[in-house]
Amino acid sequence: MGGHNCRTRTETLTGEWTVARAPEIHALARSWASEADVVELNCEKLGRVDLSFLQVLLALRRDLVGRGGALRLVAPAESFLGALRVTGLDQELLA
Amino acid sequence: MSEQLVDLSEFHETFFAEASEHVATLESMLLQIEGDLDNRELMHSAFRAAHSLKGSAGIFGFTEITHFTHALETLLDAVRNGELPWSGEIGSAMLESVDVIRTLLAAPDAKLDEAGEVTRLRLLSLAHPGAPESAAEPPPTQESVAVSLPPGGDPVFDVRFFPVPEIFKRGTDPILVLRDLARAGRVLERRVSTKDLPSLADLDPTVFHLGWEAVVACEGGQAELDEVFEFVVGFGDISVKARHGRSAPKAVVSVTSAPTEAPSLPQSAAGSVQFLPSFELGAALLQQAPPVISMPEMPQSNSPSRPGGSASIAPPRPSARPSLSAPGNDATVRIATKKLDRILDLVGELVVSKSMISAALKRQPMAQDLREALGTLERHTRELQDSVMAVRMVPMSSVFGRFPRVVRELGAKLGKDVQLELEGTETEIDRAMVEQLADPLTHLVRNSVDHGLETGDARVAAGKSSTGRLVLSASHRGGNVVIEIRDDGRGLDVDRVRQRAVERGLLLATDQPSVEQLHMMVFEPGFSTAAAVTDVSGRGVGMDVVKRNVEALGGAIQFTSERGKGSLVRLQLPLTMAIIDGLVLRVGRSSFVVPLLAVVESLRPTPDLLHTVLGKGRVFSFRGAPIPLVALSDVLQVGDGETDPTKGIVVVVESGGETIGLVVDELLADGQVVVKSLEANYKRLDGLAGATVMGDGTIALILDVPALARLAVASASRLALERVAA
Repeated sequence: MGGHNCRTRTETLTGEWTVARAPEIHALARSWASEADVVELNCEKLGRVDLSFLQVLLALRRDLVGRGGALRLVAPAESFLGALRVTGLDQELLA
Repeated sequence: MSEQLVDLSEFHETFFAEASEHVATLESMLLQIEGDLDNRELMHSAFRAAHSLKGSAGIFGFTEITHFTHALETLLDAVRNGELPWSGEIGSAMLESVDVIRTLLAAPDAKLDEAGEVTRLRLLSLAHPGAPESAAEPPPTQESVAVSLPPGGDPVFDVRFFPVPEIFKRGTDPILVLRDLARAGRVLERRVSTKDLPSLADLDPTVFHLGWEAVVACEGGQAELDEVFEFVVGFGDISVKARHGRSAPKAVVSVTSAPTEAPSLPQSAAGSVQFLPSFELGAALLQQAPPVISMPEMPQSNSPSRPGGSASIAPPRPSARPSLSAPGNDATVRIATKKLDRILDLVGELVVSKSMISAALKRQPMAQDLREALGTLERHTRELQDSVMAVRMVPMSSVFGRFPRVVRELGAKLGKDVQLELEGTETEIDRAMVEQLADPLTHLVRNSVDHGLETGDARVAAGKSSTGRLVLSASHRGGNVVIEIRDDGRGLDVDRVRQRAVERGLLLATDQPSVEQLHMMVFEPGFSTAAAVTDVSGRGVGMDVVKRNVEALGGAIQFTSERGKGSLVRLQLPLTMAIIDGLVLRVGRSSFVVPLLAVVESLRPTPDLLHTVLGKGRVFSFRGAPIPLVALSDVLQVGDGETDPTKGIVVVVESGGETIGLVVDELLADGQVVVKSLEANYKRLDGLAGATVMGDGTIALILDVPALARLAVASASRLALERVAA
């Protein structure tokens, strides 16, 4: 993953993000939130995700929005979209 | 980083056990559907089995199984919903998929092979006729936002799904449940509660913090929605409540995904819930009614109901699946067989200890209260033993279940119409015997279809129905399980058997064996009367193995046949291999146990009944026929035992059609003994099947009657051949 030294941070997520990697994504999300107001996540090559991952995204979004920032999910993969839709979290995370 | 937070490996055994049951149910239902197309419950049962298999495979991360079973489920769903008519092609593809699933279960980490992929595409192609195969499958994870209500008036349910915080640690991903929910019904409205989600800094990402409420229309009703949650029952605040008298509107309603103010839903008992904006649906049209059924938070068995006894190929319709919402009285617990075996071992030790106490106390005068206490101990020990044995018992349907498929495919391959009838499928047998029975029975069934039953033309020419009849039956008789395989085929040509036996040196041309002895020749190694060797049977390999396998289970096998009318193979097996009824014998200073199942009679013969036959050694005239005599003292090298039958006792035993007389010193007692493996505790010894600890603490060896019979017959045959050579 690469990043920028500015208030907007862009990351690309690939592979599977499930509960086995939940602490990892949580740590990453906290570091992004500490460094940026706007986080853009390219999700084009995102693999399988579970709700532990979506929870972290929700918490990250709230943290950013609470500070006037935003979380942007860019080019979400079909499977990721499916997960968002079936959970009803698309309304918040894709807003 | 790949920290594994949830180790599911300890549950794999359970998964595979359940998966095998799902596959067996699936196969059984598919086979029954062909003969009962109007029975929609069969199709629903098949769907449920595939659905459950897919769900549990998903939970355990066996993605190939999930991926493949998804295709099967798709086709099943299309057929059960009436979108596709049942056809032979669909049936064959589904049965083929059962084989693929079995292959995947055997190597769950392997990728779907090419043949499996072909089957998968075939399933999808059948499920989506007209669509190119590559495009036949919609992305399995894609969920449509736009929802159309079904044209019918499907019942509507309020669904509440608030998993426990540790749901991840239990190996479950709620997304799977939500996907199943979306697949099972039309989600008219869905709201997600995020009120418990901590801030990013305080979040423990392995703890679950969300919950859902939804309004769902489901054609399959409560049972189908219950099934969605069957893997998470007891894992949180979960309920499916029917809205009385309400159905989804018949008009097709297009739904937009634009966020709007959520319609009113019943608030949860937990108080105010923070809802995200969700779909605007027709929920406002639906009025809430008091819940009539609630889902108890208690685990329940999800095992498919076992088919009961039947007099036809189609076991009776399975009973309706109990709703998870209805508190059940038949909750079950799955226990590893090895744990049960350990309990049985301990019970065996208890039986021995009890016998030792009893024997010791009986050697001296006992106070009345001690005698009564001993009687109570004996009664309770026996009850405990019976109870543990009962737990080990499984119905014969678990053995017979494979044969409709075997017969169907074999009949098709050989161009024979075969009607298979299963009887006594509810008859129980020790689980330990089930696996060991499968191969012998399969061989016997294949033999019957290949050699026993004639082709349709030959049957008609013989004045029979063109459809051959094969019956598999099981029953309890005298403390044993009797399994019969009978057909109405051509029967055995005993003249040809005699000819082959002489050719193979098993008989002399001058011998006059009885018809029964000729029948039993089919169990001789390498013996076959088949004119042609097929890839099904006929090489003469197998029937001797069948016999040995049955005897290794402590059982006996008989074969009878009537030319032109059919054949019958009868297996007589003990209910269990762990405890047997035995007759305790003394030979010299040693004790032996002979299984009562094998004992025909015991007597002290008079000298006029004893003869020495050239080439056959000592024989004893028993019921008019000469039978070989075997002095256990000689055979087992006891040394100080009686060898003269007129001074000792002759115990006449029968096994596999052979009758012999065992010369022993005296009979001591009869009763149940706990079998201990000689191989596990010492080493295998010819003529002995195991050992047991007697009430006085001494060890008694258990006789292997089939081995002793073989020994006697081989000895007689060797002498006969030596006679010919001379």
